[in-house]
Amino acid sequence: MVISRRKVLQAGAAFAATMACPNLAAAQSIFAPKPGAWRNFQTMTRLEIGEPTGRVQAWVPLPSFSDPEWFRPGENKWTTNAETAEIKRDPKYGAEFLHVTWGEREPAPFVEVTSNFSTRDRSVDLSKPRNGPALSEAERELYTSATDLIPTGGVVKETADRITAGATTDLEKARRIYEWIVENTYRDPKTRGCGVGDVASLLKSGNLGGKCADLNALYVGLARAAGLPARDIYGLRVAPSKFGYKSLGAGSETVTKAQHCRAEVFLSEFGWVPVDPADVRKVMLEEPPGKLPISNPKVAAARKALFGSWEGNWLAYNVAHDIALPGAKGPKVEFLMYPQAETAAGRLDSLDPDAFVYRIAAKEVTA
Amino acid sequence: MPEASALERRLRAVSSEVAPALALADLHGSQRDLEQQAGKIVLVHFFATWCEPCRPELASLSKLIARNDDTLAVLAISVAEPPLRLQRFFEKTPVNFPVLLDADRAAMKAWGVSMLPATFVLDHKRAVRLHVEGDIDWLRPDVLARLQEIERENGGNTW
Repeated sequence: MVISRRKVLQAGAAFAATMACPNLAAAQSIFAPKPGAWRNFQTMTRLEIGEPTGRVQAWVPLPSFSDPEWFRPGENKWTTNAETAEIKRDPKYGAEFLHVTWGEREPAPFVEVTSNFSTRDRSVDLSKPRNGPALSEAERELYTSATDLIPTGGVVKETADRITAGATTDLEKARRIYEWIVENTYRDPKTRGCGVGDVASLLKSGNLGGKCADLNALYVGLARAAGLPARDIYGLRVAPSKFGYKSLGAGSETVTKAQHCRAEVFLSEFGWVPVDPADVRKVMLEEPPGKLPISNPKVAAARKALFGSWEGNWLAYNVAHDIALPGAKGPKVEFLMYPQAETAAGRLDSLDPDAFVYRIAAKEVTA
Repeated sequence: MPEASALERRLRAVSSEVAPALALADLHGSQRDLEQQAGKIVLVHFFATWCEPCRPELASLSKLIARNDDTLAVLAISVAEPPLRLQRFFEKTPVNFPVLLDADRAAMKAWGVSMLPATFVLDHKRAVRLHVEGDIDWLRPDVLARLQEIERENGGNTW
């Protein structure tokens, strides 16, 4: 779909600056997501290229993950002064993004993308095997393969073998890897963005610090090396946690730096199972008053829940790795969770939204 | 920075493998290769700004060159990071050696680098003499002694 400059100049729906504030007074300290009512959200991503030189283009991730049990992407609209704006799809993983190109004479390139989606809490009862949807051979191959930064041999395989030695079921292997990450890694507040997910470097260096893109990629790598299909889902926190966990939700309507990736592991008796060991370490580091011990009840509740469930206050963009952005001069991106752009000066720094410039806002939509 | 025993594990002697080719543009657009460093021991150093131990090691390498720029050279190779991010990083923390761009990780793969930081020390014949996985303090006396040893074997002056 190619949109002409005239058409894209039509203003989309105005983005309300207010966001419904949940009743935090009713918040509980027990973290136990269960599937319930669906919630509708809208995000607005606005790019204003601060120093446009030469031909400018941008790639804005769109919600393109889909699971009938907990995530439904909706309509995307955009307003821009670009020459072209086109939804494109990564052929390998199906990740969608808006590819925008401006003319060389555009002095103030901008694009504003509004995305709608519905989601809800998710929980898999791991005590009750069920006949979930099977994984095709092609999917099994895709989700057990190495990526550029997630090798499945060498130190990753050696570590996975050590962790899962003696485990007799896939569920036990998956849980052991989860517990190992919770117990052996840490959230490093100095890591830029969400980290890059260089799994081999993490393990070989022995410095197991990082953020979600590191620690949950480590889960994916170890699971794949143990023969379990697994995948990162790259996304964005869009609302506070209704369980009162300050560290596990968006703090305000501005979610420019609220990117968060989670992981899933496929177990044949349960289907895709949600896991998020990185968020357990986030609770330990950040949940007030901070630096909580692993024995703290809030940590224990999150640790118990985040193997098998997670809260629906989060947008799932895609599960893609090593994406070649069409038309780009720069290299493949490790994952597509941040807006990307290029000018004559090269690829802009997606981890520096104030220099880029981009801003992301989110609100819950109540019909 | 590692203690002595850990240092020995990281500072691994290599039996004179010839270094792979290296030709990359630097942060300012100039082409760089190993031949331009003729007569010097060259440290080919792979790093990323997101890699926390890499940051103090860049400062350590800068101090090493400040003291020995007649006999040593560093080619620092940024792995898959946007040049604009690097420019801002090095404006705040300048270094005295060129920063080369390995945009698509081709050099990293060619050199068999599986973790960052990683450093290869090449002698005058461009043979790899040391392979360092992880960060080290390049000003430690035992590290300097290893570099001086390579310099002596190549008939150079000690420093």
